[in-house]
Amino acid sequence: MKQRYDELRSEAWNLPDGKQKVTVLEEAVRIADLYMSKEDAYYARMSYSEAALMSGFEERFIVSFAWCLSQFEKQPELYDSHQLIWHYKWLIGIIWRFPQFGAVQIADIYYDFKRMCLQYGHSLRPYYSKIHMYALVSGHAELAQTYYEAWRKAPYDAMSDCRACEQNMFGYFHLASGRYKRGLQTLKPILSGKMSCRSIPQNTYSHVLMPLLEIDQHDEAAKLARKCSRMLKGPGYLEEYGRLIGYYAATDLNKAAKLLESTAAYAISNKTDWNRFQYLIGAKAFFSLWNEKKRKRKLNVHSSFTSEWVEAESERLARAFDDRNGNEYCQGLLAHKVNQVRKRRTC
Amino acid sequence: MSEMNFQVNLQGMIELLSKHLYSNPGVFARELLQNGVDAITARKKLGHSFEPKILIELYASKTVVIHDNGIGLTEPEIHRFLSQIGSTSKREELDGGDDYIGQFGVGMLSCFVVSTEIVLITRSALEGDTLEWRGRQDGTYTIRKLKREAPIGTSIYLTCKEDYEEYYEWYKLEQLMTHYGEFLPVPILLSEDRYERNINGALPPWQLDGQLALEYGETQLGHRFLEAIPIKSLIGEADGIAYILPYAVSLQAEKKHKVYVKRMLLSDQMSQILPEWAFFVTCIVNVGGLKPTASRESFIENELFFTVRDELGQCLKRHLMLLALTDPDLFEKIVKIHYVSLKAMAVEDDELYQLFIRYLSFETPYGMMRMGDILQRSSNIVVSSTLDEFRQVARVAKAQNVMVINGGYVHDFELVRKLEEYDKDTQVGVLDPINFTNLFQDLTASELITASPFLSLADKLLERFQCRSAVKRFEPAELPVLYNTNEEFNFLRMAEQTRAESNELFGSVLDVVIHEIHEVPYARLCFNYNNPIVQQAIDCGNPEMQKLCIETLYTQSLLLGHYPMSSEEMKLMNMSFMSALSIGLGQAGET
Repeated sequence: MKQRYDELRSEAWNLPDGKQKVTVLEEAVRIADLYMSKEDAYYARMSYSEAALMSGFEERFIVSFAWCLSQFEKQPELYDSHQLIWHYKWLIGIIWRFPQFGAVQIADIYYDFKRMCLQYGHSLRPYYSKIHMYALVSGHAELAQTYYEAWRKAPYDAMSDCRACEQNMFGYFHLASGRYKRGLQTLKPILSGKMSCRSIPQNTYSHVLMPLLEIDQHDEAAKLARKCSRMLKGPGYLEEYGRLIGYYAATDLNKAAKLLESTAAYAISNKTDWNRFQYLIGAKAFFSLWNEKKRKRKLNVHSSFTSEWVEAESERLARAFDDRNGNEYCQGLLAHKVNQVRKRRTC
Repeated sequence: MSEMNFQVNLQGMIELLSKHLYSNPGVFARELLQNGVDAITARKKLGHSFEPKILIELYASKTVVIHDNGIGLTEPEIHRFLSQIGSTSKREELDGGDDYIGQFGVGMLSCFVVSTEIVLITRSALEGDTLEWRGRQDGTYTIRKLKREAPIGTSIYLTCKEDYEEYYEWYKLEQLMTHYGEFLPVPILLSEDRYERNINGALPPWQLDGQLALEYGETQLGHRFLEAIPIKSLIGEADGIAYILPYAVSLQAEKKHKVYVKRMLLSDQMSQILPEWAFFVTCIVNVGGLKPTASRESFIENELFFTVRDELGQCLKRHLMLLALTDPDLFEKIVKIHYVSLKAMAVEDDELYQLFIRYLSFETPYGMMRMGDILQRSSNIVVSSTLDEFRQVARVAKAQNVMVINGGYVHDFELVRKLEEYDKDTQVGVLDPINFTNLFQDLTASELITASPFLSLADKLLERFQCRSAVKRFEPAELPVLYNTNEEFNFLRMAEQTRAESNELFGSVLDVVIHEIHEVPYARLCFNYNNPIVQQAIDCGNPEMQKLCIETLYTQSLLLGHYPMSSEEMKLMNMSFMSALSIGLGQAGET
């Protein structure tokens, strides 16, 4: 069985991020659970966690991480605390993406992460950056501002996100708050190619497209959209696809249709509602323009992916998040983003 | 308020360049050759008639002199271009269709990596004075007019720096000059004492035809390649040759292509010049229309770069399509070795899909088969989305004559799913392992009536394990049950096990994942009515024996399928095994 375990791990190494990679590593985890040591099972899960997260299976990451945490708590001397807390940081970055988790439950998790950072001597910088993001996407602007300031003041250490990711989030804060020029200025080091990492600049590109249209920088937007399309691959970029579809809905409807056809399946199978919500915002904007005319061309998407379904599902998700967050921010966001695309259409 | 200039520490700058900008100290050879060729190009543009030449002289005193008969430099040009870092005589034309190789004005600095002092003697084609410039590492320099008139052109004297003696040896210089300059269009001579050797002059590989290009590949790159494909991009002014590797390479393997800019070697380690899918080739390409980065070891990745890359990729595709018609044997050989790469290409490109799909192999219950053979055998295909699901059904599928293809390997699922678009007579279904048994032969109405209490009992017993039962007739008869799950089911099993081990905080998190984010699916245990034991169990009418039989067959199927067992299932297995033993031994006592 050790041989099969090694084979699976090496096979996974050769696979791009996606469902197959996750399935292969899941089998390795099963084998390790059945026939190998707890430590083997722990490290198999560490690889599985990363692949699950990068492939858009956040709920699988949560399960895998919970198991690793339970083992770590039992025998902390056996495992590397840095790696585990790093994964914990990922967890607090995604937990709010599921409206099924209540506000109190999420607050408890953030508190537990903060406790762990202090216990192992790490700066609270990642804690503040993640809780800032949670506040921002939940529509709690004042809290987001407070946490943003705490984040900028907290010292940078080895547990902090990489510089490119942080710069991206600084810029995103301004863009999400409607300060387009300031946001774009902040993101300049990324847009000019000076800062990058595994998910940057593709994530950044997707955020700046509509703001660029808003300030009439159409050529720059078109250039970055092309770059962005080239870089996005696989099911792990649902949010980015959604934003790109929204942008192309405004500028090149046929391109938007093509992109929708090649990515809609990801939105159907994905379980992370925030990512699906972001995707469906783009899809809703697309359908609102696509359905304006009678078209010969039939969209090659799954029969369940209709404009009616997109509308109903995006509204259901917005309500689900708002119920959790105790406001109407997501319903407003949905309407605002769709209107923005319609208002800025050039095609 | 007064304006001041930044102070630049040249010593630190040189260290920075040598350690970070350039990957090795030998790049000074490239920079000097480049300056020489550019100077000659500039002089040609003036309309001068001369025989262009670069001469590199090596002296026993560990001095190297590089002479070129190019345009030379005037005094203002020396001040501007040699003494200001970042100034270049070539930048005005940066965005135009320039003929120069260099453009950053930092090239000369690379000489300080191997030399303590640089002496440059030059006479410009534009004015008469012969000038001497001496630059030192501490950032100081002097210029003076020489009385003796030198020929038009430039000579650069480098004197050996401690620890860099190797770069003043014949073998090293020859190696460096050949490495960077063997295909440059200007004659380059290396000389020591009275011995002279031509560095360049050979025909570059991108100008060689098929067989000659293959021979070049074998002698220079050390492989007997399968094919040499000419590649070209008009917009990028690129010409090259792509060799198909004679061995399979991993998707993750680093690609290394040899890239020249205006015939000067840029890098022999470049990975980006061909599209990602083209990992089955290595290429040598000469590019005129792309901009190198400041380190001159790769290109600036702008729109043009990606257009050129796509154009080069198109050449590969076109050639392979042609090869399928003109040399089917070679084509098949290439497919056999590089099927992983070809699958990646076919998934993204409809034309290539049509070309390759019949030749590509897939895993079936009958072993690896080419799609052409699969389609001859059956036009009704079922594809599994994972290897695990394929394994669950492969054995029975074969016995039932159902063509199942394993879609669990990278790209296979998408490739098989696309078959319907390509061949209207083919039907492709996605394997649903839990309902796979629906394809099997049903029992007769009376048999079903007999089996009904047995199935109800099984459902009742297995409900707590999220499993439902069915009964069908299928082959092989010796298999009493078929247990099927899908990957969603397996994942939730894992989540439940984790739930049992987690603390309270994460226990509540996992409850949400198990009950709210996912719907709990059921596994399927299908009894085989062709199996004598199963028939006996159904017919016996003894609920106790039926219970034992159901529990034993259920736990045995988990064990054989390598499914993880919960503590309850383990307990069940032990108990049913002990009960069976006890009954058997009791009967043995009676006889």
